[in-house]
Amino acid sequence: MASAASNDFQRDAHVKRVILMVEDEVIIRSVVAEHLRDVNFTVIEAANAAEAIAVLSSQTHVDLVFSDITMPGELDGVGLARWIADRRGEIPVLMTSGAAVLDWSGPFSRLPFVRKPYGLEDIEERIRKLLAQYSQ
Amino acid sequence: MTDTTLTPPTDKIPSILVMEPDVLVRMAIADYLRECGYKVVESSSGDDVLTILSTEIDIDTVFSGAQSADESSGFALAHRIRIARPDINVILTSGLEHAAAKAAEVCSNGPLTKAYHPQELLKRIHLLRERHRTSKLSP
Repeated sequence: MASAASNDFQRDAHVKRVILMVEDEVIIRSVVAEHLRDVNFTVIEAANAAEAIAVLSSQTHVDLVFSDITMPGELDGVGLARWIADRRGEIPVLMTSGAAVLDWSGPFSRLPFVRKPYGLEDIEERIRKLLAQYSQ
Repeated sequence: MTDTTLTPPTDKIPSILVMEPDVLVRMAIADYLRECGYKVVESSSGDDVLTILSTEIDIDTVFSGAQSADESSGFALAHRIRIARPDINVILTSGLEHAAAKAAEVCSNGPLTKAYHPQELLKRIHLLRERHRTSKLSP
């Protein structure tokens, strides 16, 4: 068994793809994360952009970030996407929002997006497709 | 009195709600408990714990730090849970070492053999925090 504290520690990186899910609504986050775990993803849960940045800064392996846009805190999902583009540009980002009117313009409006409410199978499929796209 | 001896029915995966405001600590403890075979739900605040407990999400045990990200303390949270949901076991922890030791106790009673020694859990948390701290200092 590999040491969990190894300097090269990565969360099951060779077995499962790792999704960093950033969502402040705890019920949505728990239900979606549980589904993604059931279909063999490893899911890291972050309640806001600051938590997501803490995870990414800790060099924990992440294959894809799935983030809500509208979140409390200094940075919203667009701010997080900007941070990822600057520091971890190799990681694909899938955005989501349930806002009726979304003020989302500029270069980040071209990021993959799924509107809430979404189905569990739908989001799973979007994530798989995006990961496959980035693996090519 | 904290009971870390969980004896779930054999046909059900026991579930633990981990409340911890520090995402790196929460992630490591949640991972550890999942590797022991538990279903783990994560929460960053006491308010979120109460939200989860108000739903049909099945929770057997709440594993909480004594401090919460919101105004409520872990003690107040435990008190509220014990009144509202006496069927739920509450494990309160204070500090990293205590949390790791309690996680190890829970793990030793879990569905699977424990994944690694609790000292490894502590090392993992310290490593994640150090990387995060170094990253913040770098330009």
